[in-house]
Parts: sequence; C-alpha cells; structure tokens
Amino acid sequence: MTSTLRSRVHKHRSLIPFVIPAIAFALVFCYLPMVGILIAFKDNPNFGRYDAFEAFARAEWTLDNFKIIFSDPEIMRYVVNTLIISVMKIVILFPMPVILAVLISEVRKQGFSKMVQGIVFLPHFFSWVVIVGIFNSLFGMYGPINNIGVALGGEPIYYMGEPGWFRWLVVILNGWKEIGYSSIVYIAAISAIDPSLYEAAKLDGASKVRQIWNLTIPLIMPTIMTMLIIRIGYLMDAGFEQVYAMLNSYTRETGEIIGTYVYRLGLGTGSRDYGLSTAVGLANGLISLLLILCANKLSKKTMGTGIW
Amino acid sequence: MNTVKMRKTEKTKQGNRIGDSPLFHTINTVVLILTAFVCILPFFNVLATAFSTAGYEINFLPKGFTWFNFKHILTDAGFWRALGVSVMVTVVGTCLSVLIMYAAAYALSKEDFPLRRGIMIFFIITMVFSAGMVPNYILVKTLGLTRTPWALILPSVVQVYNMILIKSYLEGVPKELEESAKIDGANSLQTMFKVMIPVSLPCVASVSMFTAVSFWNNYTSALLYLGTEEKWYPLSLYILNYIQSDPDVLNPTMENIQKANIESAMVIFSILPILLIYPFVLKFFTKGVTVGSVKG
Repeated sequence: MTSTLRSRVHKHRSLIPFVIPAIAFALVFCYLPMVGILIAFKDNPNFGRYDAFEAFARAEWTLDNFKIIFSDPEIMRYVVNTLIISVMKIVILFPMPVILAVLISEVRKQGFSKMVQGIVFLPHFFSWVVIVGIFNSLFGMYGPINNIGVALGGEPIYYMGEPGWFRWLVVILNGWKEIGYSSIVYIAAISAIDPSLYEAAKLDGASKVRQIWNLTIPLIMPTIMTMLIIRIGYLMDAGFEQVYAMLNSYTRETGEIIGTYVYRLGLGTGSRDYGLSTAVGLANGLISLLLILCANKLSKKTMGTGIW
Repeated sequence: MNTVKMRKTEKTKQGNRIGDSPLFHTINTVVLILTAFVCILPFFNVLATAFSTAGYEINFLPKGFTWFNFKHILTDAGFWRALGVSVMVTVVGTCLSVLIMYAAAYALSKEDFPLRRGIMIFFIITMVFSAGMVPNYILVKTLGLTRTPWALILPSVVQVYNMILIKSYLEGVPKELEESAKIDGANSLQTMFKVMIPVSLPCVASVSMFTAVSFWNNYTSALLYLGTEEKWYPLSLYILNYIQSDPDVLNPTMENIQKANIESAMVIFSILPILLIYPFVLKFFTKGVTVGSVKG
C-alpha cells in the first residue's frame, strides 16, 4: 500500500468505530491485568482486607517469591507433575488423530464416513465437568471397568482416588475428548492430496498399507510437524480445566499441576498468598511464552507455516 | 470438498484393481466401528446409571430402574437456578462476543485498514500471554464485577480465534456486494447488518455455536470470580461442586445414597442442549470453519 496512513484513516473513517469495542475489551481484560504482574514482586498484599490500590501500596517490595519458586521442593514437585502429564499426553495421544484421520480418509462410503466423523467429534463439545461425570460413572465402584475387573477375580478399585492411576486417567479422558476432533486438521490435509498420486501408486502395484506409509504419511508430514511443534509449545500447560475437575484430596500428590497450584495458592479456600501465586503464574507464563515463540519460529523455519 | 468426492468415485470405479484390497477395507471398517463404539458406550453407561438404584453393578442397561434421580433434580431449586444462569450467560455472552468480534473482523478485513497489522498483533498477543489468575482476579474485583454474573461474561468477550475465522471468511466475499450497498446509500452499520452478515451467515452460525458451547461449558470464570456467591453459579460449576462434594455417610437419606446416580442424571441433563444443536454444528462445520481457515 502506497497510500499514507492519513488517507487510509480518511477512507475507512466510518469503520474505525467497529474495532473500538474489541480493542477496549482486550485492553481492559487482557492488557490491564498485566499491570497486576507487579504483585509478583510484593510481599503478599492483603487484597482481602484493603482495596486493590491500598493493599498494593501497603505491601513491601521483594524478590523472595522468585527465590521460593526455585528452592521450594513442593513447587518443584508440581512442575514435575506438569511435565510428566504433558509429556504423557504428547507421547501417547499425539499420533492418535493422525491414525484416525488416515483410517477415516480410506472409507469409501460417504455416509459411513460422515457418521463416524459425527460420532468421534462429539465429545469435544462437552465440558470437562461432563467428561469427569461420565468417567466417574464408567470407572466408579459399580461401573463397567470395575465390573470387568471383579469378574476377572480382582478387587474393585476406586480409580478416581488412586494417585497411581491419576495421570493415566488424565491421558485417557483427554484422549476420549479430543482425539476425534484433533483429526479434523489431518483429514483436511489428506483430502488436499492429489488423487492421481494414488492412481500411479496403484498401477505400480502398491498395497494399501504401502500407499498409506509411503504416500499419505509423507505428504501430510508438514501438517504433522507443525501440529507437533505447536503442541510442544504448550508443554507447560497440562490442562487446568481438566485437572482441576478431576483432582481430589487423594490424588494431589501425583496430580497437582502448576495451574491448579496457582489457583489453590492465590484464590482457593484457606490462607492465600497472592504474591507467590502471581510469581509462579508469571514464571510459568514466561516460560510458556518463550516455548511458544520458539515453536512458532521453528515451525516457520522448517515448514514455512507458523501459528501466525 | 469436491476433490474428496472425486477421489472417492474414482476409487470405487477401480475397486477391484491391485492395491485396493477388500481385506484392508474390512479391517478399516471394523476398526472405525469399534472407535465409534468407544466414543458412544460411556454415554450409555451414564444413561443407565441415571435410571438406576444405587448399589447395583451397572454396565449399559439400568438396574433397579427408577425415576428418583431425575425427580430429585426437578425438585432441586439450586439446579434450576444454575440452569437459568447458564442460559442467560450463554445467550448474552454469545450475542455480545460474536457482535463485537464480527464488527472488528469486518473492519480488519479491509486490506488497507489503518494500522491493520499492528492491531492484529495486539490481539494475537492476548492469545499467547495471559497475566495470570491473581492479576485477572484483582482486575475483575477492582471493576466491581466479582460475585456478579457479568464476571462470567465480560472477561470472555474477546475471542481472537473467532475474529480471525470471520476475518478470513469476509476477505473471500466479493467486494462488489458491499460497493453496491454503499452506492445505494447505506452506511457502514447498515452494510454490516443488511449485506455482510447475511452473506457470511454460515460463518456467523458456526462461530456463534462455538462461542455458545464455550460459554455453556465454562466453569473457570465462575470458580475464579464468584467466590461463595452461589446464586450466580452456572450449571457447570454447580454440577462440578456436586460431583466433588463428599456424600454424607452419617446421614443415609435417599439423596445421599443415590449421589452417584443423581450425578449421572445431572450430566445427562446438561449435555441435552449440546446434543440438540450438534446436528447443526456438524452441518456448518465444513461450510463455515474449514473454508474460513483454509483461506486464512
């Protein structure tokens, strides 16, 4: 565009009010709280007793919150929990939507394909509360999983309250909710492949499995890599909404993640430490931001496409 | 979507050639049917549990059939109030969010809109960095919104991903449509409501549905901002609190004994609206969302 800013403002002057509400909302609810990050450098302001400004002014400036983060074994345990859950999710769940997309794309009957897609996308639209409710019943003391276990001669297990089971259940619930929906991007990528490539492969006598392995997978590899890089960018986020809904007092040891700890410390019932909670959240947010920016850069460099 | 259909028909024509083994298709069909079952069976278990009496081992059929769990919900005033809050928050929140995001997307879809790139970056930053729970809470508190239903709506109005979807969709709309409206003397607001929104209806519909689902499902805003103000708890948080509460073992009333079954009945109740709109979601899926994102 060679036109000057002034002429562009003039040309679109009637449209300028259209962006104002969105900008105002983003400023107030996304940018204004960033001022509050300063709370991380304060010695626990008493927001319960005073209004925000007074509580902030009364509290002492300090760097102790950050010293605590790097020395407190409790916080380290939650960092480790977060990383373990995140890595388990990536290793176990990441390949699943790719496989599902390949299988769905091989279906020849349109009706059957649409039906399968309609069913596997559905759980994505339910809240974590509903998913936890469903699996409470499924894995409950009288649910089918325990019924099978008992029929095989085992003792019933209270899965939702077993620390050893918690992370596996996080992976299972997450998989059930999202595998289907995550396959959409791969289904789209596969449908963009030139069909003549398959005709050529068929003429060469390539079996279906060979076609998938040597044709489909390499051709959607850029999409797979982009999705993987983006996913790794969100490593420090093990899923607050899911884990908070699943967590109970029995499973805290293996299941408490950074997000739920920040909530419990800053806004939960009991004594609150606003300063430390903000500091933990800030440290986590900054590491995440760094990871996401690196991931995006890597994705752009290797695949030519990033998140933005 | 055309290419997909073409490939399918070509394949069917050449179905018996080498490399298109029937064995593969049989196995594939079986695997997909099993996958679909894994997705569906948990619903039957919840449904069965919701109609059962406590103490039975339940798989996929109710045992000790009873209406008690649903009757209990129908007489639970807290449940109905939470349902009302959820409906209100979802309706108001969706209208507000979609309208504001659409207006911004409409302006930003103009290639030479002033500071367009800078404004986009301004919005995208909010997608990757959040100040954190405590700063957000302090802000909402300072604005006087804590313990009010506005805390469930206003902080979630900005949905940058939706804005990008609408923007890419509008970039694909022929410019002539808008120009002819302008020539007829319509101002920008009239053009948006009378020309652009009707033209981009599939996109608006799918974005509205996604927004509505996210308002309906959201429990974190209530958890963070409502505190003990239970009268504004939405259905999601009401059910979560019920699920997480310990049954009172010392007081063996019907309600306490049936807790797990009542839980299931609540789950069934709260997914009904989503099941009702789901066919429409599916219908608009390919039209609104994939088209938009591919162009983006």
